Amino acid sequence: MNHDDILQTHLQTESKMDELKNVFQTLEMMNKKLIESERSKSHFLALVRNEFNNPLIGMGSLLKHLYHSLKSKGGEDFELFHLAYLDLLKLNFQLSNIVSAAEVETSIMEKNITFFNISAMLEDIDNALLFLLYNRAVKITKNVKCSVSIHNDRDKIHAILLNLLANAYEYTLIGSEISIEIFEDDKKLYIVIRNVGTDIKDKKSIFDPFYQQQMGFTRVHKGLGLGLSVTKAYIDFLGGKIFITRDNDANVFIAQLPIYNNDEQISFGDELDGFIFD
Amino acid sequence: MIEQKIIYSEQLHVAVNPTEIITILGSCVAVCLYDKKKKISGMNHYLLPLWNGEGLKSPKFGNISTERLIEAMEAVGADLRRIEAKIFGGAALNISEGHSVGPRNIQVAIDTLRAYRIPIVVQDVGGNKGRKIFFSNEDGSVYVKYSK
Repeated sequence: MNHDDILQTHLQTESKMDELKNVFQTLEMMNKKLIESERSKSHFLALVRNEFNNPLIGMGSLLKHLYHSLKSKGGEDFELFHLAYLDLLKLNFQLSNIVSAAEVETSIMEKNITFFNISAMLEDIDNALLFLLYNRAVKITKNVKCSVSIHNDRDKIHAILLNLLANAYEYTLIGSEISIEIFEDDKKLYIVIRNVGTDIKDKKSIFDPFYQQQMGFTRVHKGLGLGLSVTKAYIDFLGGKIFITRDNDANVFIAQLPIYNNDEQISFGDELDGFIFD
Repeated sequence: MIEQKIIYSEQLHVAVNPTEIITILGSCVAVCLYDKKKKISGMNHYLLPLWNGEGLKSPKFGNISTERLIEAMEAVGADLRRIEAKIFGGAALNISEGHSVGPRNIQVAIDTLRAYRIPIVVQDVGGNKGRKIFFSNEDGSVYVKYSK
């Protein structure tokens, strides 16, 4: 190899190294952008929580009162109001999931164990999901076989039930049947929701945020795709599990949650050896 | 008067007023951060090492939870340059060490703190015993009780 060849090879190697450096720099920049974008997203979700949720809760309770008042009087005004009310419920539902996702992602979840009535909660959820049941002729059967009042995290159980039911209502076939079973077994609370619908192919991704079975131009179902990710995060947080199985022509969502006897206790600590780290 | 705050898995807490933060650990890990000058303490409690893009970025994962804890400490005035860390937990319970999530939980704490250049002044990790820890922000000390 003569001097010129060596020089040529050296120049080529240098040029390739420069190229590689550029690729690394671009990668580093992309990585930085990705981290920044994730941070902005979490920040945005936290802002939504503060700025949107409170006015909507206020408006919701006022309109609920007005809804019942106008319903008893009937008339054309009520029909128009009814449609507006359904839109408000839809908005409230979507926003509550954005808020819940923000709470999960900003690590501000708290476990608040209280005593509450699960049957009353189911009724409340039916009212909140009127927008999904309107004109759908879906038959719903409910079977609550546990104590009517239970100790658990009320708000999180509410969100779990709300989203599992919303998912069943949204994806069930018009005129078909949905069954909701809640029961206790071996110190666990089970929520089993069965709805007739197409087979869920990707049972894992369904819990990813913004994932929907049909996306882009083939998307036929509404919603943000946040509900089941919130459900999974809350179930995990409460120390439970969720499974999806197929039963003939139906999808069955089974949530298993711990049952608390009363306000959660720290169950060990008195019989331990101790050591202090200054 | 010292307040007591109990945190469970997937939670974190930052204390500005005199507080003792308490948690119970098996294979989970708790990172305890302390700013001595401002007496600000913060503790997390996570279950799994790394968020891999599945589901929400929840504080169930060590990398997410520890970053959130550092951000929360800074948000109330702690100075990153002064913060010191103590890490606890990561025991191998009931299953063989090789399959336990404990060691991986510990490694994530070490890696994340290293990335933020936070020194680890104490680590009481691993083993096969559960721990109950009491973290005081009066002096930054952590009292640990081990299950028998």
